[in-house]
Amino acid sequence: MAYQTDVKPTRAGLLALRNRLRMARKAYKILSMKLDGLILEVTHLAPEVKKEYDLLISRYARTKLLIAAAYMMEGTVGMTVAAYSVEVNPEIDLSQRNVFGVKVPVITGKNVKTDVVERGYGLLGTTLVIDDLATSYEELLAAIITYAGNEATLKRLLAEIERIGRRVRALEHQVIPTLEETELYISRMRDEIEREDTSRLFHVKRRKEEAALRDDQERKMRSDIS
Amino acid sequence: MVYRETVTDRRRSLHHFPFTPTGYIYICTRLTVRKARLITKDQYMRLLNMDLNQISRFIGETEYQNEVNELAGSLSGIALIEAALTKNLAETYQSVVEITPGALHELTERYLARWDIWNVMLVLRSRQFDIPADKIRQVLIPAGGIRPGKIEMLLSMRTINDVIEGLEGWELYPDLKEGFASGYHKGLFADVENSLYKSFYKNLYRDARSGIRGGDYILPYLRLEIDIINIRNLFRLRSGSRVSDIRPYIIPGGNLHPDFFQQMYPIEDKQQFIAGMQQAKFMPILLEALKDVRCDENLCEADAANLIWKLWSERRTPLFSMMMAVTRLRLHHIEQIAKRHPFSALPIISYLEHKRHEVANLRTIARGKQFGLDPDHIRRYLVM
Repeated sequence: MAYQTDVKPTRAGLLALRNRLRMARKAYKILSMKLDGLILEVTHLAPEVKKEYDLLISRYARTKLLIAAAYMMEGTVGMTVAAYSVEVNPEIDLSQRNVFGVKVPVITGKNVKTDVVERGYGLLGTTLVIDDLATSYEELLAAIITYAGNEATLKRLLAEIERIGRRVRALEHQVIPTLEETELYISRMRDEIEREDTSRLFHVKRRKEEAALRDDQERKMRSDIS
Repeated sequence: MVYRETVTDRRRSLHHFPFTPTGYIYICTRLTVRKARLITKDQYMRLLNMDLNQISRFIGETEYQNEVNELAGSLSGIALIEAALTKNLAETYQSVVEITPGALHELTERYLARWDIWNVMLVLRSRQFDIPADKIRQVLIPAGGIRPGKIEMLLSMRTINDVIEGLEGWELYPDLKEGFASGYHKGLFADVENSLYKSFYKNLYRDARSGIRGGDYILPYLRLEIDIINIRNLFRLRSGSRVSDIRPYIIPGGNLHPDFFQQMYPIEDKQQFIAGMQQAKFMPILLEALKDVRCDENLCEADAANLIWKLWSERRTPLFSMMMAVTRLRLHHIEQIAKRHPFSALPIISYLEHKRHEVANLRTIARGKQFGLDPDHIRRYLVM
């Protein structure tokens, strides 16, 4: 396993490293909890989104069928005139919500579902195919709005899961082991240095003793000659 | 000579003009011949099996040739077919108005006044919502009493008030002026449109009672039409609205009083509802329509009652095919009485209705083909 080479094998270095290691372990614990939470949220949301998607598709199919019927019965002219008569336009509000620190959009519609007498076209001059089509479009729009919000939430949560997952894996398999290795390396290095120091001291001591011995002998020889 | 005078004086002498039976014979024969030239059931069946290009060619070779040739330069495909059909309808109606003499002329014009309402409301809406005149021109149907030149003039006006003032002298002008007196608010156009249609039926009703030939026979037909529209709107309001008073959306003058519909509206009990429908004498029509839709002669009134109750209790609108079947019955009804009274106002109305449905049928087939629907499905939308 690799270890960091840019750290000094000093006591200060070791302490800093230990701090980092403690931090990394804490981060790992918190992030894996967040990951679990996100996954739980997604498992709750995904079937809902799937249901909404199916609903959207079925409503779209129905609207397509109705638009064919409306074109057949009213023609372009009737459809265009009904469209020109519309007085209420649906509006969309965008806001944000926080899920595990992920900002997800909340989309709400206004004036999506309208009363048949408030749509703008006269009731007496139109046929019910226009009503059915308008209702169908309103339902489709409502389904789109719900689906869009939840789908965006799901996508952002999934992206977050991937990001956090990558981080957790990196911490688990890379950062923490490297730090542990480095810690081991530094302690070994420090032990080694200590041993070197000791042995060096022994050497010095021995040399000193030898030198002293030699000095003594020389002094003795000189006194003998004189 | 007498005929020439009637044309010039026709507006003044609606009720007291001395009718000559020749006038009736002339116009009724002419329109009966025209009606015989309309597309037949066999031809529709053939058209159902053609593709869009073949249909285009067929339309270009029949009555609609002139319009197709005229518009072929600027349009193509389905847009050409639709535009040619609409233009032909407008021109046919105009020509019928031209050739109808005397009080019949008035009646025909009144009968076609629904297109005036269509055009006037369109022009008014274009002024309010700033829709360009070019786009409006594409959807105008100048088939009523207001001439195309006049509509063009209205289109060139700037404000709603100018348009309304420009219509002074139009039969429904008072309703229009009254409707717009309060200034714009949401839902104003729909309210005005509804009130115009109500006046339209009121005027038509009055004309039919004014002593023209066949007038007495038009009345039951008109009442039936009004009843059908009212019942249809009752279902529409029930399925898509929360209003409590539905009387403003009910046309008076039918066999059934508006109060009847108001009483029907909140009913949640099956027995009561079916009893109401029976009182409205609507069950036999419904049964016939259901037999037609399901191609089953063995159905009984209970089946029809169950179906209508199901739609009512689930707050759904009747199926289009049911409405189409009812329209077919209505058309059949007028044709029958027109045959019994060959020299009256009835053949004219019968022709106008048949022509309208011919155009609708051709458009249905062309559009159905464009959307890739199978012939059996398209057939359910035809009025033959």
